[in-house]
Parts: sequence; C-alpha cells; structure tokens
Amino acid sequence: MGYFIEVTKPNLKLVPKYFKRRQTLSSSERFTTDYLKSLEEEITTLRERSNHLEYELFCNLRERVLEGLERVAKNSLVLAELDFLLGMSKVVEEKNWCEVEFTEGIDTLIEEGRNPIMEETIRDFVPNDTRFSEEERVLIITGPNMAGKSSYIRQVALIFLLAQMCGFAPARKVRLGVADALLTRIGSGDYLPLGISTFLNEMLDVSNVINNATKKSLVILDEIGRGTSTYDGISIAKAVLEYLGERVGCRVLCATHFLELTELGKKRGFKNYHMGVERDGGGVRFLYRLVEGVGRESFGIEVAKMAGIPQEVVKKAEEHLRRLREGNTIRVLEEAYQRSGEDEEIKEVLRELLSLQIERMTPLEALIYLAKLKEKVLGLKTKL
Amino acid sequence: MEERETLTPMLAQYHSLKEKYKDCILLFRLGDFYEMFYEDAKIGSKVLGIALTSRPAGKGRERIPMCGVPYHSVQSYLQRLVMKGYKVALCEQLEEASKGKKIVRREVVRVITPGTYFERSSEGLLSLIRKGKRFFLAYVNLATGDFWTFSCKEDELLGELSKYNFKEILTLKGTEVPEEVSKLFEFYLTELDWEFLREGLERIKGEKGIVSPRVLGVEEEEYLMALALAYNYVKKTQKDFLPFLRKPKVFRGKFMRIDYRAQRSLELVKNQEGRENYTLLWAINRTLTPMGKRLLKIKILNPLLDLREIEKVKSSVKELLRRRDLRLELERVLKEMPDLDRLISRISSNISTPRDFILLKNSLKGIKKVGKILKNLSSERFRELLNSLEEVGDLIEVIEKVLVEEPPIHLKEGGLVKEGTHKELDLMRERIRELEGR
Repeated sequence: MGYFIEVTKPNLKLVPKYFKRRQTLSSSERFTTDYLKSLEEEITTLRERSNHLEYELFCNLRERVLEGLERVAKNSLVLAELDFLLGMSKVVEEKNWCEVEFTEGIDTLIEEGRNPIMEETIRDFVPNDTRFSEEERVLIITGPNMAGKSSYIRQVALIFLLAQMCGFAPARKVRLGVADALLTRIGSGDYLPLGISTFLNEMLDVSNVINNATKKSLVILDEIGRGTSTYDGISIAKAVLEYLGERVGCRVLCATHFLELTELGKKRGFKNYHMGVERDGGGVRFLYRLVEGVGRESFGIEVAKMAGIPQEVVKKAEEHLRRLREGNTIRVLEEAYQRSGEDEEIKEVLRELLSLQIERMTPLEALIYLAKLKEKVLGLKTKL
Repeated sequence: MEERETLTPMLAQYHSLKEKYKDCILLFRLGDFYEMFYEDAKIGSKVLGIALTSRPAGKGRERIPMCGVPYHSVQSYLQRLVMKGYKVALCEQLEEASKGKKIVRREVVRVITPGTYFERSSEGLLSLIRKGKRFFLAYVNLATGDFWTFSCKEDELLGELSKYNFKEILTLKGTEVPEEVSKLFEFYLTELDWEFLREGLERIKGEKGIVSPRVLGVEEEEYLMALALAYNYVKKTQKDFLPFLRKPKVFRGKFMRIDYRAQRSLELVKNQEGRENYTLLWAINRTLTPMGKRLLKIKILNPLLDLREIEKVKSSVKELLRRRDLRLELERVLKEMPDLDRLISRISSNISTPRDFILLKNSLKGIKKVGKILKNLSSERFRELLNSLEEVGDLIEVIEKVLVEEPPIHLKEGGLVKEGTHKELDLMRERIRELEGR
C-alpha cells in the first residue's frame, strides 16, 4: 500500500496545499507529499535490492548444502540402521524374545515358540514346541479346521525368518540350523488375478517348491492336494512328501486333512502330530496345543455347531455322516447282491454280510467269522 | 509445413513441443493457466472433470478442443492425471510477456510419470534387461534417492519384484516381460530404444563415473545397461528437477530365499489386500523414523544366511538391551528426526523451501548427537556405523550463519537472511529502518 498521510473528514480543512490527494475512503482521505514520495521510492528500491541480495545469498547457501548432500545421505543410512537395531531391541524386550543359538545342519529345537502376528491379536496365545532332526524332518500335522494348524506352521516359518534377520525370536528357547529358503504352498485366494484353476495353481506352487528345495530349506505345506479328487490329492501329497523327505531331505511342515498321509509317519524321517481338541459336552474345545500322534476325528460337525448352524441342519449332517461311514462297503455289497441274480446260496452269504454289525464284534469274533466265511465262499467258488 | 503456417503462432509453438512429447499429456502454460488441446483436452476434461471448451486455431480452420486448470492449483490436477497412469509434460513460459514480442519462449521443464512423482508419491520405478533366463534390474526411487541394480533368475523374478514399491517398468523394445508379471503387478510399461540406452550408458559413465561394471564389482555389462536405462529416463523426464540420487551399487548378498508366494501367504510386509495391518512388519515394527521402517522392510524380505553377519546383528541388539541409558538417548534423537531421505530429495530438487534447510540443520545436529552416543557402544556393527558417519559440522555452520530460525516460505520476499551475515545487506536494512523512522 505504501506510505501516506491519512486525514479524517472533519480535519480536511486543515490540510496544507502541498499535500497531494492519493485516495478517498468513506470517512477519510489519504495524501502524499513530494518528500514522502521520494522517501517511498528510495525505500522501494532498497527493498527490491535487499530482497534480491537475500535471494542470492540463499542460492549460495543452497549450492554449499548441495555439495554436502552426499555426506548427509550416507548419514541417513547410518540412522536407518541404528533405528532398525533400536527397534529390534525394543520388540525383543517388550515381547520377551529369546536369543537364538545357531547350529550346523538341520537340527532345530524351538521351545514355546509363538506366532508374532497372532500373538498381537489373540489374548491367550498358546505357545508350541517344534523339533527337527535327521530322524524327524517331515512333520505331518493333522487336526480339525480352526484348531490352529495353519497358524502353527506359519509360526515356525516366521521364527526362522526372524532368527536369521536379527538373531532373536519369539520363543523361550531356540536352537536352529539356518534355512537357505522358505518355500511355501499355502492355499489362499491370492492367485485370482492369474485366472488359472486352483488346482493348476497349487501344482505350480508345488513344482516351485520341489524344484528349489535343498537339504537346508524349510518347506511349509498347507493342505496340499485339495483342489482335485480325494484320491488324486492324497496320492500327489504323499508323493511330494516322500520326495521332499527322502530325496531332498529338507525340513517340512505339512498341515493336512488327509489322515491317509499319516501312514508316512512309520517311515524314518517322518513324524505325526496333531492339534489337540477336547470333547466338551456336545461341542469341542480347541487346545491350540501340538500333540504327538495322529488326530483321528475331524470334528467338522462340532465346529458347525459352534458356528451357530441350526440344530436341525446339524442333526441331518450327523445322519448323513453315519450313512457315509457305512456307505462304502455296504454299497459294494448291495451292488454285488443285485448282480448275483437268482443264486440263493450267494445271496445268502451277501445277506449275512450286509446284516453284520462289525462294530459290536471283538477282533477275535471277527477273525473267526472271517474264517467261516472263507470256507463258505470256497464252497461256492465254482459259481462265482 | 504449409498447414503449420495457417496456425496461430501460439498453436504452432504448441505443435512443435507436442511433437517431442507424444506419449504425454502436455500442460501448456498460458498466463495464469495450464491449457490442454486436442485429444489431451478430451482426456483431461474427462479425467479431471473440468469443462471442455474450444478456441480458434487460425484463419480458415476449425476451432479446436481445449480445457485448462489454474496454475496455482496445478499440483492436485497433476496428481490425478499421474495416478490414472498418464505421463504429464509440464510446459512453462520461460520469459515475461512483453509488448513488441510476438510470442514468449516456452519449454517443457519436467515430465511427471507414475514412477517419478517424488513429491507426492513414494513409489519408484524399475528398469529390466533380459539376458536369456536371467534378468538384470535397476531400481530408482526419487523420493528417497535409492538407486541400485540387482539380478535374478527367471523363477526368482516375481519374488524380487514384489519386494519393491514401483509404478513403472522400463525395458528395451522387444524385451519379453513374462506374462505373470503384468498380471500380478500394477505398473506402466515404457519401452525404450537402443539409442536411448546408448545415451544412458554415456551419461552413467560421464556423470556417475561408472565406466565399466567392474567399478561396481561385477562382470556383466547388463547391470550397467539396467542402470543406464533408469538413469537416462529420470534425467530426461525430471531435467532440472532431478533430485539427488545415491551412488549406484549392486544389491547382492547371501539371503534366505523367500519367493513371491511365501511373501504373500506369510503376509510379511503386505496382507492379502495389499495393506500393512496384520503383517509381520506391522507386528514387529518399533522404528521411530521413516528411514528405519523402510530398512526394516528390506531386512524382513532379506533374512541373512551368513552366521557371522547374523551374530553381528545379534550382538549389537544385545548391547542395546544392556545399555538402557543409551537406548533412551538414542530414542530421543531419532524421535525428532524427519524423513531425512525425502528432505534430501526436496532440497536437491527445485522444490525446497527455506524451512527445509532449517529442518536439515536440526537433523544434522541430531546426527552429531548420534555420533556421540555411538562412541559409547562397542560391538562391531556400531563401530562400523560410527566409522561410516560423515562429518557435517560445516553444513550446520553455514546454514546457521545465513538463515534465520523461522524463515518465510517465499524465497524472493526477503526476511531469509540473518542480521550480521552480509555487510551490504545490513546497511540497506538499516537505511530502510532509518527512512521509515522519519
């Protein structure tokens, strides 16, 4: 706005002649004089010059700073590294991680390991142990859905990763042999963008695992062989586990529904575990604890109950399950009965078999019955 | 050429500029507006939701489509165009309009692309050179100054790519990018020619002093090619705005292999929705600075194999656990630290304000404190860090000497420089005060 002399309206009569009118406002007028004008001009010029000079000085400063930026950038790396180490020390202390002891080979012992992600979201997280050795390289983990299989096998992978990242891990005690790779086949919807079938996807993952695993790798398999028919699935899963366990000799954690895979537990290098579940009245209680041996039941219906599926549906499901369990053998016998035509003697044998209540027999009774049956059938041999 | 002659001079100028930036939306500065013409105007009005108008193009010509945005809010429009995947060429007037002059000089001063919008985005770009079953890549992030090269086998490519934040991939024309890459990642592909590469190699040799891959400790020329593509691209697009880049190096080492599938299914740094919550990073991150967090991410994705290296980290963490006093001191300093990498990027580009220098000065003072704390720590890793710490006292001094503690944002309106810095300035200021006092 510049410099001026402001005179309110009542005082206007006092204004001397050499005042020059600059601006008229509602209640006052502004004047300037020659002297004031010359002052203003000088100030404006000085301002422009000094502002320009300041800008120049600033540009010089910038140049000097630019020359030093390489050094600042190096220091930034130091800060980042320090911040990383400080952050790790904080989480180690806060979450009570333990120092990791490293061994040659694949021997591994994790006592009371915890899943660092789950631990943040679940109140009473249950820790679990993990053991790998030459005798127990492939751990097959069965157990119902929701019992914590997936969380457990991920936990082991994360403990390895953290141990090799900072030498500490969320557990009470860890001794492990370094893993050169974390290879996983974990089913989830993350392949949708590729637009290939679930099963093909799964097989691509599996082939990736097989092609890259070495003796020192850690392999995590969650429910492999699911995207195809049961028999295909079991056969493939079994073959993959045998290959990894016997040919590659790497450490494998395999969570599965297929009880058939637990047959592998008899072999050297394989070991069965399951996630503990307790019957609790009509329902079940998940213990989230890893137990040696095979988990026999799937508790699918109990889980359905817990999820609030109506009583009527659950009941029906139980009925279907009973029939399915008996189904396979009975269907074979029934078909044979149909095909047996008019021969009464054959029909007789089949009728007897169909009405047989094996679950009520002792093993000895069953054996005796089997021997009798064999005799009978041998007598019929020509007809069959 | 005859056709050109009937165009208005301004549009003729537009055409000759647009010719050089065919794959970009050209924002053409006209006074207080940036204007788009022809197809650009149609795209611009649609993407930005602004009115499409038209203007005369010359004698006997049809009117042409046009739309524009005011210069003072150009950033928000720019951002929308770039996020939609367009490259935007920003054309400025390089001289004041004055009477008698027919037309002012205009030049494209910068091209903003999805992978180079460093002031608004933290995403960078990757260049990719293929040699049979092996890939050589370079990563540039203008927001943080990261610049390095690495290589991987074909079956490791997805895993390597998913470790990076990138919005753009550069390749040579004719390079076959595996189909999976374009299906699993969202990015814009720019194909460049051999001439562009040749020019880049010249530049990387001349300006960065990398005359051979041996300078970087490797044999393969392809590392250099990847660096050259990336460097020439950022150089040509950012021009005078190109921020500081670190000296390129080769990122390699013995790391635990964690491929794409494992990274995704274990939710290490991104969950299934691509976000950070409920990931390992989310669970264990206790860093105090953005630099520290970025490094933590890299460490999670690259666990070590070498026992000596792991022991080094372990013993330094152990020492920190013992030295609670030093930890608290360190914490106090780090808490006050800004994103130093981004600050460096802003200062080195033409987009800094005087306040950034004050911020830098305060950070440098923090670094001095860090140096003192480090002297009290004895494990090997800390010794190494102390040794690589650079002296910055001169920079603190020079900023402190010149700049006032709370400078204005504008550069050309005075009030930046401290009293007593420059004699002539002091005299002028005194004279102004004196005149004002009369």
